[in-house]
Amino acid sequence: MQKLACVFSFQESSWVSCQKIVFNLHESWSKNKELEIQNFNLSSNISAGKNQLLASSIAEYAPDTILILDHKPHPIALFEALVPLLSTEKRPKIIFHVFGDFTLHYKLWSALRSVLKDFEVKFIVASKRQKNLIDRFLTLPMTSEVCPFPVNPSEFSYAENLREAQRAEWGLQDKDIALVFTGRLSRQKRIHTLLTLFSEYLSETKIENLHLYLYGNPDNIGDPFFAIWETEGEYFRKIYKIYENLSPEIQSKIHFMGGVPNKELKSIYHGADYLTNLSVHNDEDFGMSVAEAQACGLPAILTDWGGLSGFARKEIPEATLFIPVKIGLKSKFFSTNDVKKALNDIVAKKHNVDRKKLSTIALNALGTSAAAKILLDILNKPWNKFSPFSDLFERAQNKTDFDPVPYMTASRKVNKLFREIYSSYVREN
Amino acid sequence: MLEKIRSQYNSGVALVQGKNYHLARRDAVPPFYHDLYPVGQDYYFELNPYFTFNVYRNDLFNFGETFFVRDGKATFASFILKNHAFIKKNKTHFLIHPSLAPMVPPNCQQHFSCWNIIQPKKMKITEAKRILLFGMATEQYLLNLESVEDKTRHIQNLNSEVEVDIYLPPRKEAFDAESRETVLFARVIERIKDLLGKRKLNFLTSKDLLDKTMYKNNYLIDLAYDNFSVSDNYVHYLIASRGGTVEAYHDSAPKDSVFKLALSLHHEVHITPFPTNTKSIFMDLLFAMKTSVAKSPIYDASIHSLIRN
Repeated sequence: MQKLACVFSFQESSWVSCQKIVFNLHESWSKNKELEIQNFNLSSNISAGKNQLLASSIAEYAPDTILILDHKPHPIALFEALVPLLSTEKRPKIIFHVFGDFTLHYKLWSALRSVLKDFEVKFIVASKRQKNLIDRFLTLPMTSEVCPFPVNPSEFSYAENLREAQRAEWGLQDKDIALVFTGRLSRQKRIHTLLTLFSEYLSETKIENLHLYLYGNPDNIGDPFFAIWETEGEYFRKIYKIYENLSPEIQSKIHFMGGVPNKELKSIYHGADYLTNLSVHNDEDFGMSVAEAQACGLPAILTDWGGLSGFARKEIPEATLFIPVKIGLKSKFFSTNDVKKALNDIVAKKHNVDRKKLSTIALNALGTSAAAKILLDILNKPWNKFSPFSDLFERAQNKTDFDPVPYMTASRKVNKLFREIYSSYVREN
Repeated sequence: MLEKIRSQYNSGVALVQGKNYHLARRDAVPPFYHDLYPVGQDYYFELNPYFTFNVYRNDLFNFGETFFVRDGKATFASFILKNHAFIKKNKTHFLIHPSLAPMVPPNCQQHFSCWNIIQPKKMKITEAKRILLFGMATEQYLLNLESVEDKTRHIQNLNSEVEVDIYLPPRKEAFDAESRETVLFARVIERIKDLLGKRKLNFLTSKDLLDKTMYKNNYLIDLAYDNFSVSDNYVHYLIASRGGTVEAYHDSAPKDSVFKLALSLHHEVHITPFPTNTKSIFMDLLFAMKTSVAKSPIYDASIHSLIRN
């Protein structure tokens, strides 16, 4: 039986989606009964002494594979303490589940490569586009592997009976159409654009049966790659001011619902007609809320950006309406006409999606059982030693080390480095 | 007054905005700045919320048409004593908490309005699933054990399943000229444990508090004796904006509210005219300052005594 040392923070991540991801990944790994898994706590505020004790306990366990499950904290300090304790004759293999924040920590990954250069290593990412991105930083024969972040079917699956109650709670009738967004109300999720386009669309078309429900609390991450830093509250006021300046009729179609516990989301996804997510976030490696909504059978309007593109289902192409994204002169952008066209299609009910079928297809691809098989396959595939990072990685590291705005030119335009990295997140022409 | 507020709302320019970060001088912050972490953390809305002690040159008071004063009594007293002549000549309109109104000299009152923060959908403490007991562990913040006991006592009667989180960051006495050791922190913990008996208590670090993204069904009790340290407390903002209830906020708007603005999905600020029936203590403060030997009114014990009574 293979021994796996599963390393993650036992304290929940402050990022709600990451809490679920770590829990579900753990469950998927645990479904493989041929693996013996022992958990090790790498907490975010671990002291040097405890880090050393953790390293000793992992070395004592003598695992065949060390599995780094979470994105925080970065495991460099752990490996610095652990490597000297490991036998050079039988080194464990190492798997990293890579999250969207890889591009925020070049320096740490670079240091880690120095420590682990003699080890066999695998990077597992959550989507093909994220693989495109990460593979630009790796050198052959190393390439990353793809396993979507899994959805737990006991939490998210199709349940026809939930729809009516949720719509009654919202006060909607059969003719009403509900769009829903769940997640952080964030600049990089383009909530301000969504509000503006939605209100413009209502104003232009005079349609009265279209509603937008926004679930989640605002954040203040801004868009530092493009020199936009925001103080807490600043983005909330930006979007709320858009709302305050709308007519009462349009305001009545936009519903700020605040953050809700995870267990309420299933019902929300059943009550809604479409999920909408116009994110162009630089960390958009997957889209956990989209995965969960799809597992409930909810079709979606999504930007064709990063991991969101992975939610196309070839068996039901009409279940995902994609808005093309481009990297423009000054930022990432999409066409407002494309969004309004998608809204037109929804209102005209051009797409009649079989929600039960969508749920089944989504769970076959994204459920914890599906992920368990993919992970076992990855584990049993050939391994490679940790090869040096690419020239692009080195350049990105050097630039981000010294430049607070590494992805812009002096004239505040998107630079070549950003395009080289993030063209992996847009559709190739 | 209302025109200035509306104009400020429309422009939205504020010293705390990310794009104006260069205006803040981290080397010029007063020595007590870090002792006010996290209650003095910045946050934004259009009325230009800021602390007067962070303004290192007077022209920055004119950055917006309004200056939303977040100071507590200690630093506001110092500000008004040093700047009353400037305020009178200046065109900026100051927005203050009503508890600071008695410090404003009568001939400056037209330059001031008041603010009140309310939570329209405030939860009753009996409906809470978690209680968050919070206070900076200093005598200046908590004042004394009796006050702590008064604010904590009503938790005793809550359902035994209600958990209590305690966030009591130890700090120096922010407004003492000389640092002194105190065992208040230990005494406060001792007293809270006596009062709450076997109820489950969880002690939080600042990171625990700030990282949590949802405070729905949480009820915040601030153990502050009064608004001595800050009048607009970041911890209140944090909890309210993430869905929790803040005991210190009222649940209904003041009757004379002339302007309101949503600070989050869960709480809002109302502006009211300066209360005309306020008896000013400014002359008493001025006399105390003139006869003081303290290096600044901020550290003057006799002024502290005047403003807290």
